[in-house]
Amino acid sequence: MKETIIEKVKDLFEDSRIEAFLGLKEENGQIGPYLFTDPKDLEGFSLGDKEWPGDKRYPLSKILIALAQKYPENRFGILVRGCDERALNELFKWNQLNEEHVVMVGFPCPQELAEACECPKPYPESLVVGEKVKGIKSKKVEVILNMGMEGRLKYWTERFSRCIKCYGCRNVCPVCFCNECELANDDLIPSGEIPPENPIFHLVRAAHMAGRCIDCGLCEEACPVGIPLRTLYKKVADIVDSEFGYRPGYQKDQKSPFNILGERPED
Amino acid sequence: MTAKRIRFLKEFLSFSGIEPDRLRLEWVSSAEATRFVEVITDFIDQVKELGPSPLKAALAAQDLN
Amino acid sequence: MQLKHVLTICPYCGCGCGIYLEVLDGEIIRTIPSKTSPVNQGRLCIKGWSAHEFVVSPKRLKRPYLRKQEKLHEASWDEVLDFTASRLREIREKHGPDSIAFLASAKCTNEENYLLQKLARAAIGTNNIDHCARL
Repeated sequence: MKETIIEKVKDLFEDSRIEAFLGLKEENGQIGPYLFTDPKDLEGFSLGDKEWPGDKRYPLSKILIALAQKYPENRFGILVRGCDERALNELFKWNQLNEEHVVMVGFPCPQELAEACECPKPYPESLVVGEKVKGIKSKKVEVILNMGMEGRLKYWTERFSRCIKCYGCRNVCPVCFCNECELANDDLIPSGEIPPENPIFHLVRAAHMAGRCIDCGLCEEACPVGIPLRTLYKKVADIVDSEFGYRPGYQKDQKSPFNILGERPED
Repeated sequence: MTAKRIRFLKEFLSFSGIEPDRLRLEWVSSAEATRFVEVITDFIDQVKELGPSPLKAALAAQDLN
Repeated sequence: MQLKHVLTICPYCGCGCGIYLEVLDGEIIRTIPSKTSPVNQGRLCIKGWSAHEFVVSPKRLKRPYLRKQEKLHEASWDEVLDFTASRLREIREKHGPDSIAFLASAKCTNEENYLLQKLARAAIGTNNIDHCARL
């Protein structure tokens, strides 16, 4: 799979369709983000799999924003899984990136990873290699729903009380791009208080994920205290879908219901 | 927009373990004083019926651990 | 156009979390936790996440200063070192070595911290040495 992607990227360089390619590279056993500007560098190209599939994913789309802001005229290739493509689709809609300057090079996640992520769409539309893998419906959301009102409150207050306010969930999030973050507002969230007000801090962030979260799970992977953020945001996405028929990242021409004014809904 | 957010929040509060009936959206004009009183009184009754917020107890239980 | 992700170690404490410093055309713009680091496995605390910020902070001291009459004045290294040495000697002679304490920093190298404790123990003669990152 990797060889096909490398060939595809080389073609993009050769046809002058991109000036640089944002992907991952393994150097001395370490996998990290890498901006390829020369096809010769593709030697150590990595898909982000080391001990198990997709265990070394990085927020490439977020890195691309900083890059494209400084070089708005350049065209970039970028390595994408299903979730990365959904993130980019959202970033195009929110005018954070120019779609015409981004070339996605997509590959599917293996079934094993799709199941671990409970990913509804473990492949991008921009597949250059591999087969579309079957999407998985979340069981973790179901488990929490079955706890009952009291059980759910207990479950979340316990999880949120572990928070050390590292802001990792926000920092790593590909769709968090606000210049001023409400969670960093000293009047709303006083600095130096740990854990941050429970459950306000996390519920505010979750509410901000409505119509945005593309379910990549990087937040949960970045959480040092193991708060099941992905499950929380999965439910957020489910509510937005059932109430407004919208899932972030899937349709390019459809905007978030919280991004457009609409009719007053029936009570 | 607010109506949309409330629709979302009701479901979301329930998933977080907080009774969604503690949240209500009503449209009251500044000219509708009587209606304002009605709405508030009704909501106070509703919250009283629900009793104290379970959040306080849940957080207190957390501090004990 | 040059974007580099430089693998390094978080400078803040003794844990030694692996981080990537994102450097765009020579300017550090972000810290990203390394997922391959066995120490932090892609996670960081708030200090680690902002590990790059002090580099370009306007509050950062870049030259030696000397405080004269409550005010900071720019001074040469020779001047400040002479002043510090003579004052430390004066204090030691007047009040004894334990009237002086040393605070080392996690932002220094191991070797620099070694030298500071050497200065404290051998030159001044006190065990009053501590570190901002004692955990």
